[in-house]
Amino acid sequence: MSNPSTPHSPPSGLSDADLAEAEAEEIAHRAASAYWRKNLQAVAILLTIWAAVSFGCGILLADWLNQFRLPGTHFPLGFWFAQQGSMYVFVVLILIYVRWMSHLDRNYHPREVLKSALEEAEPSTTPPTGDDANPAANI
Amino acid sequence: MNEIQVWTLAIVFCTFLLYIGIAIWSRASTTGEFYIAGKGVPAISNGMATAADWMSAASFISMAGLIAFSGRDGARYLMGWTGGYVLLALLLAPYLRRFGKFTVPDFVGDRYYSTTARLVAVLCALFISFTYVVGQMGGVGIVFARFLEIEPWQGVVVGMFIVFFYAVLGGMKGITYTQVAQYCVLIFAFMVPAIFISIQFTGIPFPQLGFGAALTGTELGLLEKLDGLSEELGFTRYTDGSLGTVDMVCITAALMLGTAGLPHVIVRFYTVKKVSDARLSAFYALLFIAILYTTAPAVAAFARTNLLDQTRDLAPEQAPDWFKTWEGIKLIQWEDKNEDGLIQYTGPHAAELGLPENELTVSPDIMVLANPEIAGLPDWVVGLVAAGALAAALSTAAGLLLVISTAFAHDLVKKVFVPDLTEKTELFLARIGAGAAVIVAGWISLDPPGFVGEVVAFAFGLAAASFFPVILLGIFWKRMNREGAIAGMITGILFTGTYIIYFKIIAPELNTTENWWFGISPEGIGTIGMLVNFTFAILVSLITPPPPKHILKLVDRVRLPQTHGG
Repeated sequence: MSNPSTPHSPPSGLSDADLAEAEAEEIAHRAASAYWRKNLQAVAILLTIWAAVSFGCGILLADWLNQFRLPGTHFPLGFWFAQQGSMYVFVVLILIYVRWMSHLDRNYHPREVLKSALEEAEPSTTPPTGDDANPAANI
Repeated sequence: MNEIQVWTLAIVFCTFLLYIGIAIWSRASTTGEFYIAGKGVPAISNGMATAADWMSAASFISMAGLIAFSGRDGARYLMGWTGGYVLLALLLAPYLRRFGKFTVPDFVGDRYYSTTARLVAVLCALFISFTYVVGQMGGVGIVFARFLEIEPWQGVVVGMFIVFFYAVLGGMKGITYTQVAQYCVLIFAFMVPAIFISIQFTGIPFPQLGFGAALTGTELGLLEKLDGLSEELGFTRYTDGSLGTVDMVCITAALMLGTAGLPHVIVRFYTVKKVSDARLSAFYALLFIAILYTTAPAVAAFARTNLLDQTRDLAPEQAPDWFKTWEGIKLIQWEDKNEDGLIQYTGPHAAELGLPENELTVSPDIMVLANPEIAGLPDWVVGLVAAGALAAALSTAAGLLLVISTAFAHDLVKKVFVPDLTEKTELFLARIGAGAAVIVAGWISLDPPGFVGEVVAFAFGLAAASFFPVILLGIFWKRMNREGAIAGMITGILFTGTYIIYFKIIAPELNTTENWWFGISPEGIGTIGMLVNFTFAILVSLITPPPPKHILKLVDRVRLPQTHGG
């Protein structure tokens, strides 16, 4: 972006380009922290399920769960969690993680972040680049 | 030579030819290719190779046997090893991949800006990998001893030559594609007998469902029959646990955290092109692993039922062939304690039930190998299982040897002692390191302290206690510094190592629940070691200066979305 969006006049010694760069850096920095928070959130949720299924159902609650049967089979439920169910859940958890993270990666791609930051900052003024000025042009 | 031996030799020979062919075809010529296959392996192949790398002789040969003998408690291996994968995929793999260095000691050395930390990490990596290789060599020895009817030490020597050949000449690129082939061989070999036996028992071709189904032509579930048989003979009911809850939690956690910290598994994630591929290959790996891991408990339940059924009040002269063969190499032992001329196989509660004392000792390591024979499956299936077991043992051993050689040539010699080492000399040194490791591991494995599965479980405990906390804190806690990392690794591994060595080698006679701290067995102590590591790492970090600025930037970089850093 060669056209700085800030209304302040540049302090002495700093060119427009410097300011723009600093701003882009700031935006990237904020995006990175937001990405990291989302990432931690995803990991925390998935690992909670991970622990609940393995240590919870497979070990701590296994004796109690054993009084039930997995419907349609002869598996006592606690035994099934310990020797089968937990592993199925693990596979699914990683699959969810893979999808979740590629979703985050796309949304926090630097281009995406800059674009949305620009849209927020100046919704009515002329956009600086032709890229998102005319969505039809991209088709 | 009998039918079984002919089949075994033929199948093993063909698979070996395949592996060696692949190793020659993809011989490494640069250190990049030797260590990490030049980062050019697709996620799905990498997933398969990771699965083969990680499913060792312990998973293939030993695990179903251990489950068969411990019932529901056997889940500690199942959940421990697969659950660790989740930790690895969520907490470590993507960040280490983004960091973009060859080895775990590289990460530790750079993140903690210290040659000492690197040196400690190298020594931990060498120690862990080495323990693990010893377990593999033991597994190879058992297979060759049984099927070639040679002495176990001769079996180990044969295995040493083969591992040496393709691990040392091929490097990572050769290993990756060889391991893909090995995965196919081992999973086929594991599934075929399992499917056969599942159909025999319940008519259902999926062993995962079969062992929870009713026996053919009856309303009685297989597990109910097994529970009943176990109870009758004085064992704990198969679907109940007998380990203390604390111990069970600790062992499972140690195996999980150990899996996540195993250097030869972590290095796998460097062989893919992008971070998203690292995540994806972790998913494929677990999927491929889960195929074997969900089948193993079924194999265990079938094998256990057959064993209890077939050895009941058996006259030794009527014993089936498999019994005699394994008794011949001392992996089944029978001692006629009450001198009635019959074999009595009873459990720990036998006396309360008025049953005779147990007279039969069966090594868990033979259950998978003997299973097709016990179930009366065709001879070629028996040969196939032998080939699968060798694929499992050799693929893991090769991956480990690579870590050992890398740790030796790259992390130790190049980074610590001779920084201006040429690439050619480094490659040469890596090969020398791998060669030396094969020989020493083979030699030690002739007399390992415990079963294959147990030996491997110790390696996991040590990995949990040393690497897991420093890698995790290195990524997730910026304040973590050099002093903390070194203190954590040293205290963690010393604590865990001492506990294991004390109970397993110095005073094995004291290795009982009453003497253990908080009822935690040596297999589970890695979890406590990990807590010790965390405690020291955090405390020492807080009382020493924070890490320098460029390290904080490095941490920021590994936390970015993939498009920023690579």
